[in-house]
Amino acid sequence: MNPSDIELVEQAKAGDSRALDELLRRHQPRLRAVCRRILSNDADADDAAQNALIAIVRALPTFDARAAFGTWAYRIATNAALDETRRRRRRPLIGREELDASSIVDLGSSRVFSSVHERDALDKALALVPEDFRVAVVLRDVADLDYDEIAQVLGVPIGTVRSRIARGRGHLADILRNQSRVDERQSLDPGTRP
Amino acid sequence: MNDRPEPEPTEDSVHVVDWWASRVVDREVEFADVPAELRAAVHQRASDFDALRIGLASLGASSDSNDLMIARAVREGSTTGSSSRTANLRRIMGPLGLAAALVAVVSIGINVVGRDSNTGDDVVATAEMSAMSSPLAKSAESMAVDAAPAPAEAGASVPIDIADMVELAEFTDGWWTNPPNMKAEPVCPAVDEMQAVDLEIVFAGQPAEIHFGSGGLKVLSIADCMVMAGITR
Repeated sequence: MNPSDIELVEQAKAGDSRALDELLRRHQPRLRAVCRRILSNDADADDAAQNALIAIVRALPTFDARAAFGTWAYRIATNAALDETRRRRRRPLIGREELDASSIVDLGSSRVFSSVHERDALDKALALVPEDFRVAVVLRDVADLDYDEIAQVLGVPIGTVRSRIARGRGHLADILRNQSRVDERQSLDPGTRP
Repeated sequence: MNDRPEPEPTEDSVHVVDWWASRVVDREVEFADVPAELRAAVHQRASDFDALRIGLASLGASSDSNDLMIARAVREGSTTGSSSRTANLRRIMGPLGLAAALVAVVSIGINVVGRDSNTGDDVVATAEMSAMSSPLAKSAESMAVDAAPAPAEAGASVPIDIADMVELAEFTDGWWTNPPNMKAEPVCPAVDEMQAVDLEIVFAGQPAEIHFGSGGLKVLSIADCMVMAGITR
C-alpha cells in the first residue's frame, strides 16, 4: 500500500531521502500543470514549478499539517506562478506567442475536448481569462481542489472563490463560443478567409 | 446541500446563471435548488461548464514527473546552510549600533508589509530556524550529492541572523552608497525591479532573501517568497 502524504512528510522530516523524493515525485506533475495553466507558457511554468519545489523542500521542516500537504504545496506553487506573472509583465515578450481570440481553432459543436487541436484551443482560451478568475478555475478544474482548499490557497473568502470560479468558467465558455461563431461565419463566407 | 444558498451580488443575470451553473457542476447545490425561472439557462450553461471541467482536467493530467526538476529542488533546497554556523547579528552589533539603526529607521522610513493572516500563516508562522540542521536537510544534502553537485555552492556562506527591522536597517544602511553583490539565481522571483542580494540571511527567525534596488529593499520569506518586511528609500 502506498504511504499517505503525511506519512511521507514525516519520514522525509526524519531524514528519509526516498520519502522526500517520492513526495515531490507524487505532486510535481500537478504542481507543474497548475503553473502551466496559470502562466500559459511552458518555459515560465517550468521556472515557477522549479521555484515552488525548492520552496517546498526548504519549508518542509516547518510544515505542521494544519492543512493537507497538497493544499500547502498548491499554495506555494500558485504563489510562485503569480510571482512569475508579475515578473513576466516587466520583461518584453520575446519569442512568446501573442494570444488573441482569433488564434483559437474551431471547437465544433460537440464540446468534447478530445483532440490535440481542441485541447490547444481550450488552453489558449484559458490564457485569455482574467488572471484572478483563471487561477481559481485552474485550482478547481486542474488541481481538483475543493472550494475550502482554494480559499486557503488564495487567502480569500469562500464566497469570492465561488464567484471567481463561476466568472472564470463564464469567460472561458464565452470565448470558445464566440470563436466558434467566427469560424462558422467564415466557413459560410469563404471570401472572408485570409 | 439542501438549504438554498444566497447568491453573491452579481452585475447582471448572466452572472447569476453562471453562479448557479458553476455550483451545480461542482455539486455544491442540487439542480432542484436552482430557481425555477433560471433552470433552462442554468442547465445549458452547466452543460458547457461540465465539458470545460473535463477538458481542463485532461490538460492537467498529461505531464509526467520531471527527474531533473526534482533533483534540482532537492539540491537547492538544501543550500541554506547550517544553523550551527549562523552568525547572530545582535552579537556583532553593540548598543551604539542599535541606536544608530534606530536613527536610520526614522530617517529613511520603514514600510513593514503586514502579512495577511489568511495567506501565509500555515506556511511560515511556526518557522523553525534549524531547518538545515534537521534530518530532512541532511537527507536533502546527501541526495544533492547524488543528484548534481554545484561547485559554486560548495563553500556556502554563513547565514546572517537579523532579528528585526532595527537590525535590518543597521545591516543594510551602507548599501545605499555601496550596493551589495547580487545573486545570479535568486530563490524568489524579483519584486519591484529589485534584485536578490547574494547573502544568506535569517530574518525574524525565518530563512529569507533580501531584494534590493534604488527604491528600497524587501525581505522575502524563503518558504513561500512572500514579502515579510521592506524599507522604502
